[in-house]
Amino acid sequence: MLLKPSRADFHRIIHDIGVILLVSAAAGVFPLIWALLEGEWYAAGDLLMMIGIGVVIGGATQAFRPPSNRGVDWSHGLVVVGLTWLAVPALAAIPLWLSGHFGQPIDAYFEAMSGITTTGLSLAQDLDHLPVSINVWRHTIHFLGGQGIVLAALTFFSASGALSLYQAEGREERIFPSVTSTARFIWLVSAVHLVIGVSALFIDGVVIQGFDPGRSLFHAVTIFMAAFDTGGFSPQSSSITYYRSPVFEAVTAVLMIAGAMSFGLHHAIWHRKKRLGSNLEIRTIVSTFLITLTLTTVGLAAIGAYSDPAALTRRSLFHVLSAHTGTGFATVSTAELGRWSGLAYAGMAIAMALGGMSSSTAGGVKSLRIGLTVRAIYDSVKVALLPERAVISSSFRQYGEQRLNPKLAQSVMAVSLLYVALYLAGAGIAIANGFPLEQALFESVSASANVGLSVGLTTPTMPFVLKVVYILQMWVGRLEFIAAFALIGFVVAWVRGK
Amino acid sequence: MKRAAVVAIGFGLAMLTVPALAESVSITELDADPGRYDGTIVTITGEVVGDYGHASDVVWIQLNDDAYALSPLAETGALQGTNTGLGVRLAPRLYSDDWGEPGRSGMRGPLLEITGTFKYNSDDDQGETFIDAESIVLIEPARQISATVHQRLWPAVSGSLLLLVGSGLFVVGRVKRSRH
Repeated sequence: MLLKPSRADFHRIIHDIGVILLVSAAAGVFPLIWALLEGEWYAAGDLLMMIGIGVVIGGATQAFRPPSNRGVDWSHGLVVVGLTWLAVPALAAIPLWLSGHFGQPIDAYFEAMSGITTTGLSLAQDLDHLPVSINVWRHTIHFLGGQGIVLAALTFFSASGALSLYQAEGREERIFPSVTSTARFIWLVSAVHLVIGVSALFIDGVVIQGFDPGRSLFHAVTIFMAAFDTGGFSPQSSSITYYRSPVFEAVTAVLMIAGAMSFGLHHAIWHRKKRLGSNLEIRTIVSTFLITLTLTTVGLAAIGAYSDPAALTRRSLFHVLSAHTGTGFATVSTAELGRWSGLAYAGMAIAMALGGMSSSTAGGVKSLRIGLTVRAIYDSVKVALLPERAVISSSFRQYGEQRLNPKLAQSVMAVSLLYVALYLAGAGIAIANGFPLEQALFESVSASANVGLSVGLTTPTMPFVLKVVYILQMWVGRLEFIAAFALIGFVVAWVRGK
Repeated sequence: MKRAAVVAIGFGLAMLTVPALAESVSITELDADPGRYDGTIVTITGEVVGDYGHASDVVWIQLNDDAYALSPLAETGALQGTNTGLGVRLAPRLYSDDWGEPGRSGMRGPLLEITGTFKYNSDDDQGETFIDAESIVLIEPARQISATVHQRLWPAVSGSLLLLVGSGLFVVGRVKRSRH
């Protein structure tokens, strides 16, 4: 029997979402300061509008909806996270829509959802003339989403049931016993990368590319946020092609790798833990990266895209990294990427679909699931080949020895299959809207795995229904299904429960 | 409108002065069939956007020939799709301070007519696709866009009021909570 959610359930959920909206609105202060420094008064007004709405909604939930004493259980955590990831983009879209660079409100919402889920697909028009502060806001959304909105809120507001909220956002590992300590560690890692990354990009901008220092700082900050949070937005319409600097590409590549690494791995590296190379997840991601890199490089060589080996390696390496980490930066035009056919297309599409590490800012199926799925299939084959009485005990190494039991194998295979279904569903809808199979599949994988590379299907003139589908794919892909399903279950229980 | 007409006439006149060998093309045409134009001398006309990249021995610019080059969004409010641009490499002697600032928010960058060799995935340049400029004609220098269609105060005013109300509600909530 379905149990109808009680009034106290709603109070608790509304209260928590209110807190998260307050934190999201507070993040708008950063671009607001930038707007004031740049003298972009009207953009500052647009940002102030967003902050005001966020604070009113957040403040009202605190004033009129006092929380009950009960904490947040697992299902509440999932519902809060599911709703939060729909509500925050709506708030974040306000200054984007007011900027006048989006054709319809849904385009601004698409952009905000793409930003918060660190996808990087964009429907902005005349991006090259977008106010600097609004551009900074687009990238701040990446940072907020990449770090985890709920995680950000937990850092500032302690909450009962913090663990449920934390895990519901797609983070499985706890680096420290307390969620708050884990959140602080994640912010510390990000801050260290911010200082190093922004400095390196800034120096490259001034010294190698010859930009003026103010503009160089703008490029460095925005590209850092998009790279480290595996987002993919860029301040100029031509993505990383704009910079034409191997050093800039190299720094960006390092940041993309750092972003796609789990914070558990960051912790292990910081503490110089040994035998990291034997971890299943690391072995899997290195293997899949090498396979997709080989496919793409051979494919590009086969179509004769680059006759110079150095140029060929530079392009394939950067793009496979961008696809596998789920970032979505490009150093070729959208039309050029669309010409990558055969093995090059396959290599890129597979890299996007597989994604980065679990508990990182990357999307996709994730390497640990891929590794466990392969291991489970291998075990099944072994069982079939060995005598009936043979007992097989399967284990894997992931920061220590762990057992692969049937329940775990089933769960990772189910999520992997759900991702495949999501990729195919999006592709099917695009095909039904008249797009060719290759384009439709590439774009669907890119949206679902939160990558952001495009072969030209994502434009402001694309069908309305496809915009909605991609928004849902980005949302479901980022939440790794569970929170989305829990939200649907909650609505069903509310409507049909007793 | 008058200004747009003058600029359009300037564009037309500039086309007449294009060297006989150079083919006048759009960036969309180059992007659609780059192999056809690879190594040929072409002429493109558009707005410099972003930054001037004064690298050690060359200057890099980004030239956009989309609709916004002639009709800036901030002036018309008319959305006409995404940007189309291409990198241009020029010798420092071709660069001039008279061009003014590149196109950004509130700034229409200089309109240039650039003739040069189109290089597609160039082996000599680490696989870059760009135009190696040989001659540049300034059609119109950069100009500030002072009166924009987005000049409105209501978001700032309502935003401030909402912020005030929201802060009050937040404080009330906190007080209630501490009493509770």
